[in-house]
Amino acid sequence: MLNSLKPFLRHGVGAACIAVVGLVPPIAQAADNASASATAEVLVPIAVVKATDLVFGNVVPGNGDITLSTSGARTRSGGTAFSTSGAAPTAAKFDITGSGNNTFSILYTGSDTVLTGPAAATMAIDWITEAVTTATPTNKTDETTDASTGTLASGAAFIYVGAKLTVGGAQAAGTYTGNVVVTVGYN
Amino acid sequence: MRGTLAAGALLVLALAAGRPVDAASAGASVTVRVTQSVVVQALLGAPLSINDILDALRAPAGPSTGSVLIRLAQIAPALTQGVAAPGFAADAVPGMQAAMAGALTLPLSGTLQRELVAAVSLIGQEAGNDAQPSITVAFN
Amino acid sequence: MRSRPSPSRSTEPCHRWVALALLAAAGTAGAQTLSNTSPLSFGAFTAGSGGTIVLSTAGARSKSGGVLLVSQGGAAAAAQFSVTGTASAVYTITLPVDGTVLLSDGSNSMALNGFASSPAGTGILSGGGTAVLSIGATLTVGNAQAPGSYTGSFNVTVNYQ
Repeated sequence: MLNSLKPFLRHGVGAACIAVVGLVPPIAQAADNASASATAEVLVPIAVVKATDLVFGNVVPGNGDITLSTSGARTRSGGTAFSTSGAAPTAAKFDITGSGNNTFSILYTGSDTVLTGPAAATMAIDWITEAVTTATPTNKTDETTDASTGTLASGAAFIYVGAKLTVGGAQAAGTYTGNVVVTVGYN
Repeated sequence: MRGTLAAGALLVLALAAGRPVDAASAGASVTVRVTQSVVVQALLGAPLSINDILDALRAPAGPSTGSVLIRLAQIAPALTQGVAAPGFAADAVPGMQAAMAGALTLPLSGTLQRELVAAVSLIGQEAGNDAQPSITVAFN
Repeated sequence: MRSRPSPSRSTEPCHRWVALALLAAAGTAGAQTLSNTSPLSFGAFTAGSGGTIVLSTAGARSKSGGVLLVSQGGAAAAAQFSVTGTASAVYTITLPVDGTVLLSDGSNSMALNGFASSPAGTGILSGGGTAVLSIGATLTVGNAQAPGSYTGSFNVTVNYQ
């Protein structure tokens, strides 16, 4: 072995140096780096404002129901009736604003069982609700299922609330009132 | 002082909110006006003349306000004559036409010239009650 | 007889030989590479009164303060990197230090700190010479942070140990 190393020795390479060369492990000192992108979406806080109150207009005592659709159209059943004079009927309308096309949950509170009138007289009420992306309600008359979620379209949505009112045969005359509160949140 | 007052106001607002910070709420009022019914006559029977109706309409107004409605407990054939009289009209009531027997031609829209009658509804046929030939008038 | 060369004369050519040997070794052993395969995403949220969002290396979000996490609008995910090199080699991972990375929407920014990796610190390439690196971090959201889409980028380095 020493003979083969003689040329190296002639060039002045010490034995220790050869040993070091021999021990160099076959691994590159290579390092590498790469970059990644990071993203985050900060949403516009969701907001809701009331645009229109819910107005039934005038109704006549009689056992039956008056239904006010989400488009503000009234229909009746049974012994009650409504009048076309008096206050014009309107469904409640709420304007929602937020970010993009995100979805949101909806909660309804308020007078969700009865309206209260003179001398604490009451009338049973059941909401008819829908959430739409344009200011065009669909004349919904079904009170059995409430819209529990909605979707924004370009940051806007609308909630319409009509109701089914149960009138009694001896319903006391006077003004009955209540309120409907909608609470929305991104979900 | 101003600083602490402002902080106090903010705290009151936050406590009054009473809902999660991520939610937003708004409320709408709901109103219904129930108009008073006044029984003008019982057992008017048929035929019913338009004068009976007008007498009822001219009666003193009741304590509650609202539009006047005439409610028929039963089909009153004579009322068809009243319909023919000028100025008498009735609002459309769903199912009313189908519940009628005979050629009852109530106009579908319009208001009484005397600005008292606003709507007519049929009760007897739809509710299965055919024994009450009375008229109930609700006054404005 | 040839005199033994002076120590200074002998070390200089030695270094040349070591360098040549290493060069030869580099050509034959696996060079280490790092590439980004998917980005880091915090998903969507409302800022409220501000706070922080921690994105774990497993891609799970948790928040503190007034921030509200929203589960829609793009899934949150840890960044993924692919490492290749010599089989079973040990490598160190270098992440950005705090205070160097910002997400911006063009006018507003949020600081991205607390970078963490899985594996943490060092990793070992598989028998096939590969490994996957997951990176999470902590985002600081300001009080009433302006709504919008925020983006930024960060660098990761791997070194054979």
